[in-house]
Amino acid sequence: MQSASITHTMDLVSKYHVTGVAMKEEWVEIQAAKADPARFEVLYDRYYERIFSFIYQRLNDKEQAFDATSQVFLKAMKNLYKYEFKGVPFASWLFRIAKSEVYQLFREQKADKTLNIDRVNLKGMVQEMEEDFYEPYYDILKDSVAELGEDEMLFIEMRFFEKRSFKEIGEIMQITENHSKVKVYRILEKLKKILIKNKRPS
Amino acid sequence: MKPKINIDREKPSSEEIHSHKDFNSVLKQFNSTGGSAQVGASGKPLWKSTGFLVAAAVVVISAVSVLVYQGSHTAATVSAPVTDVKQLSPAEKDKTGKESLTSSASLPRMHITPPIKGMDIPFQNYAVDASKGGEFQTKQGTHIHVPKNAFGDEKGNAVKGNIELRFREFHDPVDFFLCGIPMSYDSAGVRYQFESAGMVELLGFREGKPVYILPGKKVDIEIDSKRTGGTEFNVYRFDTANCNWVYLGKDKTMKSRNAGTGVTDSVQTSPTQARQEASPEEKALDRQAEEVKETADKKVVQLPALPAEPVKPNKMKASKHSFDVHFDEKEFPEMKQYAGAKWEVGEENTSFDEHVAYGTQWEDIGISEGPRKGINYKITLKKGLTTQTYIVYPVFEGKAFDKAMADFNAVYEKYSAVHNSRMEKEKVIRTEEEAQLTELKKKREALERKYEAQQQVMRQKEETKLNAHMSAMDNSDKLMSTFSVSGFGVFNCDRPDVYPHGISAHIRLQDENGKTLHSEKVYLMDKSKNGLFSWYESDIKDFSFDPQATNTLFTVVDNRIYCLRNDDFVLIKSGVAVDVKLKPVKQEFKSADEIRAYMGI
Repeated sequence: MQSASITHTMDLVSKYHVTGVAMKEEWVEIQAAKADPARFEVLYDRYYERIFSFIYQRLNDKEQAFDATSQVFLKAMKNLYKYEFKGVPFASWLFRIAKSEVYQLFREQKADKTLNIDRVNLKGMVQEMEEDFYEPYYDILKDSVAELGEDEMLFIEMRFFEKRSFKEIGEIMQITENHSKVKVYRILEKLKKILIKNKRPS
Repeated sequence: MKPKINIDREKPSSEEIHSHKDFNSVLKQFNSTGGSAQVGASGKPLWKSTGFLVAAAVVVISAVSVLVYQGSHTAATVSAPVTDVKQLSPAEKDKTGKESLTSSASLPRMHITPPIKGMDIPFQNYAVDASKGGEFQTKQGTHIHVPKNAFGDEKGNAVKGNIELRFREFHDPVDFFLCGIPMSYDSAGVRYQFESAGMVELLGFREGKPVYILPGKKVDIEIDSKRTGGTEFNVYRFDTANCNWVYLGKDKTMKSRNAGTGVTDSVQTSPTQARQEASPEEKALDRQAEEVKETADKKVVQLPALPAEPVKPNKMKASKHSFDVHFDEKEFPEMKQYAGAKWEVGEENTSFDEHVAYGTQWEDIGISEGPRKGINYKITLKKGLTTQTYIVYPVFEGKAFDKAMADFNAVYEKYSAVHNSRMEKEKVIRTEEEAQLTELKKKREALERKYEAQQQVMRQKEETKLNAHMSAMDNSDKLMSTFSVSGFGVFNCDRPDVYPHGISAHIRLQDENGKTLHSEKVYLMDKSKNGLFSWYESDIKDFSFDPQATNTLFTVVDNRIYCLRNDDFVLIKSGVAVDVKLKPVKQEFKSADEIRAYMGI
């Protein structure tokens, strides 16, 4: 298996990096919340914006995204008794609940699947595909991304639009860091083929 | 279905997002829907409830002396041989017919096979007066409470006098390995492995003969669960006849009674926070990168604008309606390219009526750009107040088409040259941009590595400090698992854990010389779990492990341990049959502690 190397992306310091000490301190907070649900508030305050942003990235309706965010934290509180510290940030567990919540909305057709793209991020993604970014192909590009499968789009969104590290993507998708790297590159390869197909004149 | 696409959608501000926070509402919903299943009705964990505390306070430690003595540390001190076979007494059956915690001490101990001779976990022996009961604590801090008049013979008659209780406990993977008690659990056809919070074996004898716990009586056990938090675990009894674990219920947790008064000194730590933002040097590099991008973008914008791509002329179709419009080229120079063109009525004009279009003597006609610029146009026909507008497409026929094509080819050639030239120039600008960004990226990564290394050193110092503080603390944070048994046997406080995943392979065990190793069982220890995964030789084709964990694979052949260390797991690839060479451990182990030290537990 040949893996592509990153030559063009400029990775910023991940704002999602959590130290071992911070995780240990958070584990104490989680245990307190298990004993007394009212003490979950500190976790709610800490992650509210991030969970909302994750959900709203995938929905069209802002109010619906706020409702879904509340549901995620409610489910987190209900299932907190199952949560055990395994050396992985608590946030990853919350993101997994958020992902399920969004998928459920799609399945029940209560929300429209939405792809939110920033031009700047799209450009970065194209550079990673080692393609040249031409303004005239912009429309083809965004339509090509929309042809990806649900999970594939999730990987692209997390990597290029939300700038998450492979490590964090792995923690959210419950795969290893290496596996998440390989998956992203395979999706980019697939996207290249879609792009070529869509560029071809009819 | 394709998703809806939004481009550069405005992001809500942090203020707007935070204005929607309402934890009280979420908490209210949580409480109104019954909360979590593992929390008592009051919202507090059960061990904090008043009822539990009262019940605990009622436990009376017997005033009668309890003789506690320790057997020697070999399995030979157990006088009841493990192969003793006797029928289970009918008096042991629970009157309600439900599964009870009953098992006879004298049932055959099938399926319990310590893998290394002479290294089984020894029993500790305690004597208790049957009519008085008692309470005792083991070396590991486990508490056992025996009620009075709890024991009977095989006929169900209460026995008096001194009862010999034999007790042993198992806390970590080395214990689980050495005792040979299977730690796998089958439920609904799925195989799990136990992650244990502590396992015990309790047997009772009187003058060498097994005794039983009478119906309605229970022996309480509090075992140090080695966890500082977490939910209740499950309690299981080992069914020696069927080699499976029988679920009995949930344990309860309570703070360790060994807890002292708390920390005697305070440790001031300022944990190294995760870097929330880049350093000034990194920011400077980021700014430079932005400037490089801005400069490149400006250069691209300053390149000569691309002309509109010329549109290839279309041939007229005889089957379609069209208009023939004559105009003076001098008066309408912009229409010059359409000299000789006809105007074909487009498919969009669903209400086109040729009688109206052609039969009316129109007074005025106008042509303007259509919805598709450069491709179609609108013809507007007027007579008095009546107006008809049609979407039309310029088409050519005959010589006019030939000329239009010739003109198009000439224009297109020029256009291509300009287009290609511009693309080339843009490519040069982008290539240069990329080279500069790559250079900046390398510098940035070097800085990140430098800061990360510094942070790592600081974190390690803090963790060392914190760990030293934690171990200096007494057991005030520890939790005990508590459960009651109404019979003798092996009891486990666990939760089932799925077998690891990540890499799956069919492995063939060999010694270091490549000779096949035949062993009954193969064990996998994942350092992050308090359990032990195992496979029989026939199952090893379904071997799997988590490559992210710290693993040790080992087996026993002819009383010797063979081992594969974590670093060598990289040799095992997914989906292929692999010959795995295990190294014999040369050290002769004399105790479980020596094995722990070797395994790094």
